[in-house]
Formats: sequence, C-alpha cells, structure tokens
Amino acid sequence: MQIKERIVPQGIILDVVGDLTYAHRAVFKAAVEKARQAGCRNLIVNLEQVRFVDSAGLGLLVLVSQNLKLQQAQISMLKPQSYVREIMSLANIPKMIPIYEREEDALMARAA
Amino acid sequence: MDKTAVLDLSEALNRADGDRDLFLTLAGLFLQESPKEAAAARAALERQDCAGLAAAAHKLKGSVMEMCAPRLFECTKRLEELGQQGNFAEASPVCADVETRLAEVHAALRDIIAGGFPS
Amino acid sequence: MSSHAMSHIGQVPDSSPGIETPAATILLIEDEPVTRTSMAARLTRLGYRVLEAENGRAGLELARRERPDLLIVDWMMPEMDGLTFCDAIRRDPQLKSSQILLMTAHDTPAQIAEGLVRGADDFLSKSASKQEIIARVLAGLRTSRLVRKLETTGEELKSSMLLLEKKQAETEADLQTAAAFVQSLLPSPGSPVHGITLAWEYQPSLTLGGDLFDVMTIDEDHLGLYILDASGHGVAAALRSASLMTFLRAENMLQLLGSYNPEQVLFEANRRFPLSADGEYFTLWVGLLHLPTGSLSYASAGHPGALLSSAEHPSRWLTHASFPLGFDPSARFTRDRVSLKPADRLFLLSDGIYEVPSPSGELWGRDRFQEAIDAGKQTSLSATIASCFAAARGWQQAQHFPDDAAVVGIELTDYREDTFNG
Repeated sequence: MQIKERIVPQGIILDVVGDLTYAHRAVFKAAVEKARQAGCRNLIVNLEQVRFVDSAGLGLLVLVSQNLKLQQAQISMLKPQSYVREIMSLANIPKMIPIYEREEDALMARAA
Repeated sequence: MDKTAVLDLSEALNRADGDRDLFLTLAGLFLQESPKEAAAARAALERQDCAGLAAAAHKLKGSVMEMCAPRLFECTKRLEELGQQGNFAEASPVCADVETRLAEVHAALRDIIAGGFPS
Repeated sequence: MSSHAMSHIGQVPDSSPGIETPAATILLIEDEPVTRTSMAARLTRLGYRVLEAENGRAGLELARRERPDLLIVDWMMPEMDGLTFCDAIRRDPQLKSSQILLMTAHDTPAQIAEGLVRGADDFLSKSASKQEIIARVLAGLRTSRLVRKLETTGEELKSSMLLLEKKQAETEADLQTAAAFVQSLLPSPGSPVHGITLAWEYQPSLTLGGDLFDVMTIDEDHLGLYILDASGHGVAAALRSASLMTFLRAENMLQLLGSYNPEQVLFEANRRFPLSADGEYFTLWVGLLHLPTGSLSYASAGHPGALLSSAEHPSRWLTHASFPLGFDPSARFTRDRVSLKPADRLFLLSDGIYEVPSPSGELWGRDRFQEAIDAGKQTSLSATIASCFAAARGWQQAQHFPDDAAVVGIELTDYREDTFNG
C-alpha cells in the first residue's frame, strides 16, 4: 500500500493506493502522524484507489478521528468504493467521519 | 641428480632444505634401518615371497630416495618391479646389486659423518 | 630418535598478516623411518605441528584423539596400506570429513583414480619439491578449515532448529490449553432452562478465537445472551475477547447494574472498552429474553449478526447501524423489542460464517445464510446449524474457515406454563 501526500492551502490530502488493512497499518499511521505534526486541521483520506478495508483499517480511521478531534482538527473520507462504503455503513462510520464525493467539498469543510 | 654418482650430496642437502644437522640425522637413521630392509628383501626372495620382496624393496627404495643415492635407487626400484612381477630368476642378481651398492652408500655416508661435508 | 627432530611451533605460513592463528596439526603416517623423519622435519620447518604414526592402526588412534587438520598417509604400508586407511577414515563418523593426502612414490593415473575412489582428497609425491609440498598442504588445510566451518554451522543450525521446534511445540501446547479453557466458558448445549433449546457450532480460524458468545440465566424469568467480535486476529484478539467476556458475566452486570438490560450493558461496556492504541475494538450484540412472555429486548454495538426465524414469517435481521464499542465513548444505544413465539428461533452469528469466499472470490453472503436457515425450519435446531456450516464449507470448497465462524441458535419450545396469559 502506498500513500502520497498532497499539501494544499485548505488541508492535506492522503492519496491511498492499495488495501487499508492490518498489514499496512504502520504506513497509514506514519502518514497521519506526519500530517498531524505539520499542524494539519483538515485531513482528507482519498479512498478512490482502495479496494478493501478490514476491521483494523476501520479502527485506525476511527482512532485518528478521535485523536484529531482532541486537537480541533478533523478527518474526512473521499470517494470510497462501493464495497468499502458498505463496510463503513455497517459500522456507522458516516455518522462520525464525513464522506465526500468531490475533493472541493472535502476541502471546503472546516473543523467544528 | 647425477645418475652415476653413488651419493648426490648437494641434492640430498637441498632436499633437507640445506639443514646439515637434519641430513646427518637422516643419514644415521639410514645406516641403522637400511640393512634391516635389505635383509628383509633377501629373505623374501629366498622363500619366493613376491609380495614380501616387493614390499621390502619398496621400503628400502623410500629411504634411499631421501639419501639421493641414484645408482642404489635404480636397482632398488628394479628389485621392487621384479618382486611385483614374481620374477625371482632376475631378482636374484638384482638383489645382489642392491647389497653391493648399499655398502657403497654406507661407506660414503660414514665418511661424511666422520669427516664432515666436503667444501 | 635424535633431538634434531624439531618440534618448534611457528606461524602457519598462510595465515593473514598480523593475525595469529594456532599452527595447524598434521598427522603423518609412514612406516619407513627415514622417509617419515624427513617429511616430518620438512613439515615442522614450515611451521606445522606434526604428529607421527608408524602404521595405519596407530594413525587411526592418533587421529581420533587429536583430530588433526590434515592427514598425510603413505600409499604402501604393511598390514594396513594407505587405501585401506582411507576406507577406515571415511567409515568413521567422527573422522569421515578429514582431509587426506596420499603419499605416492610415483603418481600414475590409475593410482590416482583408485586413490580418489577409496577416499583420498589429494596426492603428494615423495620426491615432491618443497614448493609442491607447501602447495598441497596449504590446499588441504584450506579445505579442512572450510569443511570444519561448514560442519560447525550445520551443527549450530541443527540445534537452533531443534530449539525452535521445541518452543513451537510448547507454544502450541499453551495455545491448546488456553483454547480448552475458553471453550469451557462457552455455554453447554441442550437446555439451559425449561422451554428453551440451545445449540451452537464454533470454528475458530486459529486455535484461539476472537469471537465469543454466551447464554446465561439472569434470574428465574430471564435469559441473557450476547455475541461479541474482536477486531484483528490471533492471540491478541482472543485475549481481548476473554477480557470483555469476563466483564459481561451475569454476576458482574448484576452487581454493576442490577439487571441485564441490553442498552445499559452496552453503555457500560462502551465506557469500559475504548479503542486500543492500535485502533482495535469490539462489536457486540446483547439480548435479554423474558421467558414467561417470550419478549426479547436487544441492542447492538456495530454487530449485525442476529437473525430471527419464525414459523410463519420470513426470517429477518435484528439489527441496525450502530457504532462498535469504543468508537464514541459517550454513545447511548437504542433498545429494540420483539416477541418470540413457540418454535421461533433466534440465531446469533459472527461474520466469519457468511463472509466466506468461493474459489472465484464471491462471498457466500448474508442472503444465502438466511436461505440456509429458512431451509432448515423443519429440521432440528442443531441440524439446521450443521447444514449452514456444511453449505458454507461447500461454498468455499474448503474445510477451514479463514475467520472465526460461530452460529448460536436458541429455540423457544414453549412458554413457561404457569405465567402465560395467552
């Protein structure tokens, strides 16, 4: 799994390619930590190229969400594939982490 | 090696890496052992034991090689071959040759031991 | 023997400059004294430690005692000749990899061939020059060192492997013990109380599973039930599950809450079990069955695995979207209610039973699971569950489930006679 970081004025976008799973948790955690240390308030995880998220991946996303909220920052998800979207819904994730279909919408959102 | 010599001393010393003390030690051993080895060959010949003859001749040949005595070496080697072939008829005179030449080598060695190395 | 036979031990000529290594040991086996003395002296002068033997037998004994780095043996010797000596060395398990130089009067190709066959590694002519002797001896010693290094490494590898195997066996035994313990915590099938039939089947993907469940008598009127799923796999997940299981025990909840009301149980569990540092969490479904009326109240924290199968109606899932434990520490969980009639069956299941892929990758899925349940309405509870597992195995064309697979079935056989009011 690879993660590319794009820094824009409104926030940081992580373009994820591959599976967001237990095996790749270190890579994801490192990318998030880097963004956090850069003082990112709006972290967008682009899931367009992600085919599969397992329970560990879900848990990580939620953990990141909780941690960022403590710093008045937020995480959102961009263009999840249909299977991933289904997994997210079963765990009620959309209630906690916003999902966007367009990058501009994700960038416009601000932390509460 | 000078094939006509009784004893090629320079070659023998060379073989001992120039160590005169070592050569003298080996010479002393040779004087001690070679008569036994020659006698064993003669005895094997007399009882027509070809394996015994070849073995005794071989053993003598080995020690002769260390002394670099070319004429003795040649007939000891011949005796070994004849023993291997079981050719007792020819072996008899060759064995006599061995005994004669062995005596020559003994004399030469005793000279060196007593009188020192020729300069 | 004369004291001129030298025995000084010096630097081995081929050692790297500046590195002191102990002199190599060479065993010389030669019956002819002059030859032996001469060769021994020459080798000693080259810096080696030389041991001498007059015959093959003495040579073997010395070899076994001293384990020389190199053996130089004469071709022709009485009683045991050089070739026979080589045979003996190669037959000896302690010595068989020794380096042997066979001394010949003259090397003939036939001799060399025979020597190699019988076990010699190289040949040295008795009339060899000093340079040749050095070359052959060095080569032999180099090979000897290499062989010894290989043998040592081989031995070390072997004992490491044995140690590893032993540890693995111990770990496996520990896991088996842990699994047996966890299994003992699961409810015994049959009838926990009058009017209820219980059956279940559980296939953890590894020795220890992360999916656990229980059916408990809360009091004489109530049955408590739950199924939980720990994210992740392996021993870590299993340990976390066991911890939550302990928390969910009837005695514990009664002490904490005074009841086993599902939404309260979830509330407490949610506060007690936040996300782990690695983002691990639980999903949990809790139900409370009132035996006199068949009324089932239930609540779920992200666990979608509760299916109600009744005689008259089509089966339906008893769950809606909710957060797993630890996602929202202040979450409140909604309680739902449904009435069970006699012959109704409630199934609690983990996603491991329906998320099995076919060889082409298609998942069996919740719909097909539901069909399997409906198809078993006429058969017994345990037979229905067994047929689900069979169907799942058939779908994936494998016996082993990649994820923990659990199906628990509770059938209401009758209301309790004395309290049913029609």
